[in-house]
Amino acid sequence: MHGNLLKILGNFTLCLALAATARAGFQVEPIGSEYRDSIQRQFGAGLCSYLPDLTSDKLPPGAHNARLGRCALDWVHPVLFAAYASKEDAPLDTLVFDLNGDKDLRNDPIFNGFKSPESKNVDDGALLFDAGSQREIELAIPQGGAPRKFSVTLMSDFMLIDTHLWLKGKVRFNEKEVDAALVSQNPSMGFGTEKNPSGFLLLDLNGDGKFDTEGLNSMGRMSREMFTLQSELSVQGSLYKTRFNAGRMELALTRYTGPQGKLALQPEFACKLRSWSFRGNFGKPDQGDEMPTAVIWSDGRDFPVAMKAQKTQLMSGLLFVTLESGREQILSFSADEPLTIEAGKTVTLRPGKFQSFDIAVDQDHDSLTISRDFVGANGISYNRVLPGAENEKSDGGKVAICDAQGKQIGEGALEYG
Amino acid sequence: MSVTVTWETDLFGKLQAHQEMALDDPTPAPPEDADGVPAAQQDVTMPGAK
Repeated sequence: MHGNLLKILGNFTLCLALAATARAGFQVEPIGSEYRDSIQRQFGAGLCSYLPDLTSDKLPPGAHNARLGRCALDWVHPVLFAAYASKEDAPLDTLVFDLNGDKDLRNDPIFNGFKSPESKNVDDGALLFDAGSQREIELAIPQGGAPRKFSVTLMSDFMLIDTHLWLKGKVRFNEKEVDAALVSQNPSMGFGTEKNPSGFLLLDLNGDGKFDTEGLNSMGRMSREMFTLQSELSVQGSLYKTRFNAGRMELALTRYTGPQGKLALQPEFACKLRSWSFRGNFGKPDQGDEMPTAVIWSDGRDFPVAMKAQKTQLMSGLLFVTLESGREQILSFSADEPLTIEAGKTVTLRPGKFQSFDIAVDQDHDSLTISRDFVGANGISYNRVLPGAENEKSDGGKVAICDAQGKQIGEGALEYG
Repeated sequence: MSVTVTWETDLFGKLQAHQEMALDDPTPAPPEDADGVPAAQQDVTMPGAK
C-alpha cells in the first residue's frame, strides 16, 4: 500500500513537471511579420567571428583557407561551421554547418557561390549593406523543426547572418503568464549563460496581445515593453533576477528581495519636455571598460527605479527626450563619481543642470582641435546632444576665431568626431 | 588670437566658451579654408597666417 502511494505520488510529480515544462518553454519561431519594420530591422541578426584556435581535419574535399566558428542558428545551441574558399588563394565562397553535430563537416550540406564583399570597390560604411554579397540559404536547424531561411554574408573575419528568428513563449511575471519573446544581435553567444543571460526581452505587460514597439529605433532607444536581458532586470521600476535555462528553453523572472534603494531622474533643461526615457549602463566604480553589471532601461513614467543597495557608477547614459515641439533629441552623459544606492533611500540625478562649459584648444601646425568640457551639477559629464531622427545632422556648435584686435578672421562648425 | 565656441541647443539653451591663445608658428592655410568652409571632426583649420 505504502509502495503504491509512493509510486502514484512519483507519477503525479512527473506529470506536474512535464506540464510545467510544456507550458513555460520558449520555441524558435520566425519574427512576426508585423514586426518586420521594427524588431526584425534591428534584431535576429548579427555576426559570428571566425575563431583562430578552432581547426578541423574533417573539412569537405577541396576546402582552402577554412575559417571556423560557432553560430547558434536557433539562438541557443551553438553549431560548428566553416567558411572556406573553393580554390586556392580565392576569397571565401563556401559555407558548411555541422548540422548533425558529429564534428565532421564532410557529411553536411554545402552552400557555395558566395560573393566576397571585399572584392567590391565600396567603402567600409557600405560594406555590410552590400546586398549583392548576401546569399539566402535554407537549412533545417538541429532544434528548430522545419527548414528555415537565413541571409548570410561571408566576410574575411566574420560571417554576418540574419536568422529572422526569435524565441517566443511565456514568462511568469507578477503571478501571471505573460507573452514574451527573446531577441539577440549576437548569434555567437545567443542568450548567454543561465546565470548571466544576455540579449533582449519583450514582454506583453499590458496584455493587449502584441509587443509595444513605439520609440524603438537604431539609436539605442527601446520600447516600453522591451528590456535588456541581464542577471538583474528592471521592469516598471521593480528589480528582478533572471535565469535562462537553455536545456528547458525557460526564462525565470524572480522579484529581487535583497536590500535595495531607488534611482530617480529629474530632467531640468532649458526647455520643456513632452516625454523622456533613459538607458544607463552601470558598473562597479573604476571598473574600466568591463561589461556593465546592470543596465537600466526605463520610460520616464516608471521612475524612480529600484536598484541593488551598493556603490555603483553610471558608465554611460542616454536620455531620449521628446520636446514640446515633438522634436526628438538624445543626450549622452556619464557620471564622474560613484553613486551610492542605500537601502530604502532614493538617489536623484538631475540631467540638464550644469556647472561649467569650457573648451580646450590645441594647435597642430595649421589645424586647431577644439574639445569641449561640459560638466553637470551633480557629478555628471555631458558628452553629446544628438538628433533623435536617424537622418538628421548633429550640431556641435559654432566656432569663431578672432585676432588680437577682436576682428573675426575665421569661423567654422563643430561636428562630432 | 581668441577662439569662441557658441553652442545653442534646445536642451541647454545658448552656451558660450572662450579661450585666448598665442599662435605657435602657424603654417599658411590652404586657400579654401579662408572661404570659411565649415571644418569637420572637431578640427578647425586656421585662416591665413599674418
